[in-house]
Amino acid sequence: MAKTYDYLFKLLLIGDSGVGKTCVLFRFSEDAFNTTFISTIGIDFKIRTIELDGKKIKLQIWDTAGQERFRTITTAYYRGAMGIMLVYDITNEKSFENIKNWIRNIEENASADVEKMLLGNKCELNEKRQVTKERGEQLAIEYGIKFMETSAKASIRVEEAFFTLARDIKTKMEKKLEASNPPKGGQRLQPFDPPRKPPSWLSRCSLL
Amino acid sequence: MVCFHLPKYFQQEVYSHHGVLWKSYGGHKDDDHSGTLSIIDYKCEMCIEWKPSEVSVDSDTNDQEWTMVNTGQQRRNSQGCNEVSSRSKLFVLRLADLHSFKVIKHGHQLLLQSESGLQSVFIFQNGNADSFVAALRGILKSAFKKDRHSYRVVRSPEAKVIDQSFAELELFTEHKSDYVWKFVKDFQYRPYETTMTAFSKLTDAWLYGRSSEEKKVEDEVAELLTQSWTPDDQITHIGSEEYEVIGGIPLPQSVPVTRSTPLTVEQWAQLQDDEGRVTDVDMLKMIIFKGGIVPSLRYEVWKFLLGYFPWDSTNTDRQNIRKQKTDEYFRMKLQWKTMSPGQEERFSDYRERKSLIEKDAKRTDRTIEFFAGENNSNLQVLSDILMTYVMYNFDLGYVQGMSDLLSPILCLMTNEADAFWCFVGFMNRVYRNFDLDQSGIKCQLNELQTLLSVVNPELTSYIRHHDSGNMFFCFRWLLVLFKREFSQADVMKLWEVLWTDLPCTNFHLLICAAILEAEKKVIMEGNYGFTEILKHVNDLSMKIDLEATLCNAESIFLKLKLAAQLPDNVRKIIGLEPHAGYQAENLKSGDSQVNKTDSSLHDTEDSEIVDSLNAVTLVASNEEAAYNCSLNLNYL
Repeated sequence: MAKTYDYLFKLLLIGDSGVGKTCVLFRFSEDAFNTTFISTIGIDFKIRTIELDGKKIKLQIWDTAGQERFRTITTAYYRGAMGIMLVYDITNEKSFENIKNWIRNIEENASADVEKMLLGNKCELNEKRQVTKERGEQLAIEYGIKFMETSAKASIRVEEAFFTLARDIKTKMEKKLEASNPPKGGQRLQPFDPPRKPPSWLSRCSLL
Repeated sequence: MVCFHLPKYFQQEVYSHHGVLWKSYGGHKDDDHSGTLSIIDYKCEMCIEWKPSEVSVDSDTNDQEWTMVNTGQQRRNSQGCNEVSSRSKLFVLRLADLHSFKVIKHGHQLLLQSESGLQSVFIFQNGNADSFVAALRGILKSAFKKDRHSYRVVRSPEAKVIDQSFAELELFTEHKSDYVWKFVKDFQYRPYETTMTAFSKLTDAWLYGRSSEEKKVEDEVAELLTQSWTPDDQITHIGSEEYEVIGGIPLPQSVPVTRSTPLTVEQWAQLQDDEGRVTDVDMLKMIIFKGGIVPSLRYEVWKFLLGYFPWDSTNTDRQNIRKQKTDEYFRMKLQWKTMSPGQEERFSDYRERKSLIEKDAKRTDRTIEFFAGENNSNLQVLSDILMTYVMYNFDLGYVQGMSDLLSPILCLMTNEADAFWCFVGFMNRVYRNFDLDQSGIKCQLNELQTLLSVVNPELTSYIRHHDSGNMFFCFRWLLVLFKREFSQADVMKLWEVLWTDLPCTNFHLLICAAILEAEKKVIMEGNYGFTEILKHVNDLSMKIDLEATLCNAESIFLKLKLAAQLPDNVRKIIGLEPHAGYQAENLKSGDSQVNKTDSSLHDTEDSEIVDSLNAVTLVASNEEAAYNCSLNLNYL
């Protein structure tokens, strides 16, 4: 059977419990919002195939449980992720403060050159805002990553956020390919350096 | 059923051969006693027996007796060999349990294998083992299948199931399993070890150490195993250097299991005395295990199952308990309710717990009517109970998943304090699921893999080779005990079944195994990899047939229980007694159970329950026995 996509990117959503990771993902994959959402237990993923510059890119987006307690399980899934969305809730100061902990988690567990992006979710709740947009921007600059305020509920910039992350991964990947491996028309890609930890099941997913 | 020591005049020696050495596997070299191998007719059945010539076997002394149960025409002991006395080393194998036999070494050795997979070698010093085989063939009415030099006794599968059923019945009344296991231990494992060694590198760890003296016998057994009993497809090559033996432990055939009707209001009333004490807890648990509880009664019975009310409490006792516990609840509730903003400000651990609860309470089961709609006051009660639990057990605090565990309890109890204490009872069972380092869950995932590798080696091997050997894909099942996998009604039934602690410790792991086994075809034929396995398992939510799963899980338990070569590490997981000689080690690591399940299943009293339960189960699988079953339950 012919492949229905050119690239497969594995993305990961992390951030404190209740910041809206599942809702952001649901908005992006189903273009819907549901007020009766349940907390995520364990890990799951959703798929959406997008098109960028004429290339079909299959995004496999992993959604994790946010609570600290489950980090020993969820960090196992960091390896092999090519892009990570760090999500906080603009109405929850603590979730913003914790972003630095999540960054540290990435540094400890993910591939060194994983693309990262910061999302301030629930931006439709401006009246309950505890974190200004400027602080979000400032933090993103500090870490050298992109930043966006989104709303899964009101469908604001969710689409844009994922497209941006996907494009950054694609650019990085193609640059690496050109450098190391002049194209011969084949589709077998090695977009990243091997993870720092021993190869795992996830690292295989970066092969097409 | 009657237990009696068989007087000599009831037996008839059909054939006997003196000067035969029995090679016992577990023992030392000097265990190869010379003795007499006989075929003895006990009227209701025939046995192959071996007795050492230097020890006089007197059936009147206690430690040398062997016991038979007279149940008319049908009785079987599933274990294949009846133990007798460790001192006399008497070997007994009923012909009904003989799987196959073979003469090797030019008539010098006879190898017997029981239905349960145990093997024994007898050495005929004059090389005339053939004469014994000739007698055996003449006596056995069953058909044979000759395969090279070995004979396999052919029986119909149906007969086997009935055999097993009656074997269980016998265990129920006799409690002879202790003797059997003591005997069996001498035979265990070694044959496989040799086979595996021959394949050079092995990954399975069912094996035990052995001395070099034993090797010779093992080689012979290995030869047999490889020639006639090990299908080629059970050995899988991994890479070019490593071999993995799949399908290590022979399991008996599946035992059909049926479910029963839920506990009724009438049964519940009849199971209590005038003052409201529950008179037969074992029977009650058995009924609940087999069929659950009618919904209208859950409200009452759950309080017992979850330890809020003691089984032997009277109506008056319970009124007092309830009053006292209600007071206690509201005292604890007041502790956090009266916390000032300033206190809270300086109490970050508390704040953190509170914030998690606030987030989770409003996203718990909102599709269920009880919690549906804006400003539903039940959500506040749910939140309050979880907050009070934080004060009750601050160290554990609140962990995601707990609101899932509380929700059905609150729906049922509606009363806040009652729901709280029932929740406490539930948490006492599963608190290790919420360990800070997740060690409780990891331990269960490990145990699940161990169980599955025995229940379905092929699937386990597949899973291992598809990067899923850590069984993480079952994380959600375990954390909230299938709360996310079934409808509310099914979850209630499943939980009350689990709370009976029947038929064994860690029954929930067998439920996992049963679900996975049912998905084996999809997973393997679809050539699912790591991501597909996880996705598939996640997507099973609300698509699993609970009744069928419970039947399959129970059937798996019965298979494991009947399996003679089940290694002790597996036996331990499901709370079966280890083989004799393993007790000391078992005691040392006895606290490794994850859920606070009833470890007293090791006790004689509780194994009676298990056995009686099995009896009902198994008997229900055939018509004649269904009648017996109704007799058993009628007194209710």
